Amino acid sequence: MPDARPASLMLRQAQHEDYDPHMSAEQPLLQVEDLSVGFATEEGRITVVEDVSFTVAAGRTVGLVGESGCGKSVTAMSIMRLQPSPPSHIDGGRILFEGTDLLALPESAMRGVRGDRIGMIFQEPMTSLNPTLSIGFQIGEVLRLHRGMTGAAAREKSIEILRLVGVGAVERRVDQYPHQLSGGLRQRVMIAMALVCNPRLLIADEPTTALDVTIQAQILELLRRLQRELGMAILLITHDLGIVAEFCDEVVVMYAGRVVERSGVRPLFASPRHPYTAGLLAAMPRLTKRGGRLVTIPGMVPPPAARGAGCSFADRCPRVLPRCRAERPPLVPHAPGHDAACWNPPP
Amino acid sequence: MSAAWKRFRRDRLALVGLAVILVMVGAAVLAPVIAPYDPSEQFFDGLTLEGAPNPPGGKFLLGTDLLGRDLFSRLLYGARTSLIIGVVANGAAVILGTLLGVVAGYVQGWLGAAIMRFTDLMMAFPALLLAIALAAIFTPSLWIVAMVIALVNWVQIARVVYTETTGLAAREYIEAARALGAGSGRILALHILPHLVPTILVYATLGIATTVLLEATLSFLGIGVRPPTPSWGGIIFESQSYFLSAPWLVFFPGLAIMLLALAFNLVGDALRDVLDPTQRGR
Repeated sequence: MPDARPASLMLRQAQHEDYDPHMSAEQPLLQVEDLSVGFATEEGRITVVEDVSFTVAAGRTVGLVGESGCGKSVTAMSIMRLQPSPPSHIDGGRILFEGTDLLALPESAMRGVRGDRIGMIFQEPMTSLNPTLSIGFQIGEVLRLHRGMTGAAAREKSIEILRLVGVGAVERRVDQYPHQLSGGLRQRVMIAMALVCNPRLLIADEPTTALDVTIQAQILELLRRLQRELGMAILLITHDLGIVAEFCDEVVVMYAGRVVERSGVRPLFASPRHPYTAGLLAAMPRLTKRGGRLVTIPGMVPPPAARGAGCSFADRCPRVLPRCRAERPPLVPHAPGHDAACWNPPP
Repeated sequence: MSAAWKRFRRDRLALVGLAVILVMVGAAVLAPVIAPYDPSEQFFDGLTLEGAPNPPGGKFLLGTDLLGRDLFSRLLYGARTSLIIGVVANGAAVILGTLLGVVAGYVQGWLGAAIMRFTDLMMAFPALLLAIALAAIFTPSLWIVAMVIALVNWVQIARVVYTETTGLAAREYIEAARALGAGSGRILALHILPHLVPTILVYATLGIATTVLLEATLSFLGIGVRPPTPSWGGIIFESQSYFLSAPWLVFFPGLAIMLLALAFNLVGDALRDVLDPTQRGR
């Protein structure tokens, strides 16, 4: 969904936090290091996520941005170890969560992490709840799993969390079934389920994409409030830069399976250091200019199998150099806390 | 549970079906009390002077069969056989088929492939031939016949349940449940099996009539329940060549089988509605 807010408003909101990851002395909550994920296909192995690294500090919000198929959801699902394997396979890297490598955990221990230490919400609230079970039961199920709570205690806690996520008439709602709730309410229930065990990290995979604009704003506002109250970190996966500007502290931009730019929100919006990011920002529709044509990035994302030795963006890049096609640019700092993978970054 | 019963009670047809089932079960259990005669006794006046079976009415309520036995008594005792076959054999087939189908559909991989190829093999194999082979290996008895029928009839159910499970396993709430830390056992029990209930119920109710008739076929071939033990299907098969001269011998047991199947269908339909949560709270 294109964002129609004036860019100036977004920038002002982006400025509320000026974050420099190098100033953070403590160990980050989540540290993804050189993560590579491949898929076995009939045409052979393809790599869809390559050497992805980023960190999420406790209590912060990081936006993982990119267009469809860039590997952002695969990255998120790999953190949860929910990528179906086969066909996918984690080829390398580490995912440190509170100092533990999640990739080295046995499945039983990983089950204890999911839903308890790390919560996750999905894009489709309409289909992410089991239609045959009441929402109170489904929230209670999480408490049974992780807290051993049953009966009245679980019900009480379910009511409490539903109230916290802003569901009205809770005593009645708790016994209702998903089909009796609207999309916005279902997403609130999903959030309640993800947060009922008070996780340290919430992974939100396009949490508002399936909702209409006013509900989007409500859900984001809710997430912001819950983050403040519960002190969790959020990894927000989205393709909507407007949401990133409003909501995130840091941004990780992915393109064709790699991180192309990584920075605090303000510097990224003020001076993008990768032509792809610059193109995305230019492609955002604005209300301030009447009658202008919408800007697009020409060309298409190369399919995973067709990614050569050079920069994957080279064929679409207005600033392409011969070197870009021959040699892949490494992700290096261009300013403190502002990394980009480009041989010829925009000024 | 009481709420479910309340909704079930509103369905008149289902109540009729339930009543029919209860009457049949009662008749089977109380057969020695209700039956006017011994089902195996060949009466001297059970046949007309020409040697034909008596039509309904008079001393024999539903007439007599080819050997001069009381049809009503035979139907009452036959209810025992047919209910056991229809419920136990069919139930075992449903459970076996569901189990294999769910495991194959959920686990996939080599185990799922192995189960499904075995299912295909069973499908390609003539069921009757297999039943004959199995019945020949074991000494025929009611329970062996039930087991043989179950071993033949689980195949279609497994195939349907497998397909349905693969579809269900790809649903987003399964992934969401996994993201909340649920293990495979919980996902199967809470998120997959309840969704299979409508399909399973349809197969279970449809299967009752076919299993009763399969038992009759086996009896006809001499590998089913041994005579003189009566069974509904058996009565039809032993008298079918006299259909024109003694239609009651086919009509009454046929009616009993039809009523049994219909009653289970009605109850199954109602159960499906009652168990469907989208009907709840309306």
